[in-house]
Amino acid sequence: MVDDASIVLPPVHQIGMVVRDLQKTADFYYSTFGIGPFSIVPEMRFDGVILRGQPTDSKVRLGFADSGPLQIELIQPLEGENIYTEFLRSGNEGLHHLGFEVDNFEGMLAKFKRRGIEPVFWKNFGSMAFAYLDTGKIGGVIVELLWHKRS
Amino acid sequence: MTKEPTVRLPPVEQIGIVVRDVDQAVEYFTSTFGWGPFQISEVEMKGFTCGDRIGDCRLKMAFARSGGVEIELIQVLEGETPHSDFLRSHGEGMQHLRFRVDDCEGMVEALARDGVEPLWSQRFPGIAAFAYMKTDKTSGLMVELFEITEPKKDRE
Repeated sequence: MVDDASIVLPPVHQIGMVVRDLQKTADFYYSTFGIGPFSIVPEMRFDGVILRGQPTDSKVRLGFADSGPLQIELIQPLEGENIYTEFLRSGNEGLHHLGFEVDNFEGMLAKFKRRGIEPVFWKNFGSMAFAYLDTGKIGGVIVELLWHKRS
Repeated sequence: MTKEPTVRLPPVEQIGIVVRDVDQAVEYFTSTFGWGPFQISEVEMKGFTCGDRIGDCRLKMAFARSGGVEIELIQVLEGETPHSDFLRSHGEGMQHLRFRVDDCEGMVEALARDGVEPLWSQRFPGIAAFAYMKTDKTSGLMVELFEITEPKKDRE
């Protein structure tokens, strides 16, 4: 039975990886595995993004490559605090989250909240929004909801 | 000048997730992510190569699809594998990406030239072969090469 609180995520859109040196990683994945080439955004500002309830400013470097129907995203934190610095500090590097493109961002957030799952790093910019959710307590998979306003 | 890639992996076909308890994870991913239905199975593996040792293990696995990609859940029931190591150092979570290849050993040999060595591998003659590839160079990414062996007559 499907109740209105049941959650059905769309197919995985993105595999997100957090790395210490994005350029080196992107070069290596392409030259060795043929993954890429990556399009690199050298600097992206994340101003006023809510990290565990507090607005934070941070800066990241991003890299994107397609792998069939999936996008592989590389993220290197440059400045400030975010969930990526937390991940690296805990001694991890590599696979970090799965991204899902949703049509109804607030509705999906509300469904997760009804199950006690809160966004840990998120912002709705108006034309786009993202939210990393605290979905990892069982199974260890961080879900990122992604939304883009349709023009 | 950019050199030609050493190998060209096809699109990702599987995301491998290490979990403590497959049944619990299946229930959670089904109710909270809308994944599934999952196919659950137990496998016994004997004589795999892991670093410089030969080992055995028993795994419980579950498989489901999310669009074009397969989700694999892996629980180690017995033995010592890269999954048990991952669980200790990282906890539950995404552990590898799998790519389908035609010639597992050929690919392993090519990647060795770039300093990427197999960590865990086995060939099941006439059926399949796999190799988990990870080194300090791969920025934490574990790449699984997976071959389903074609019958000889279909080969040139």
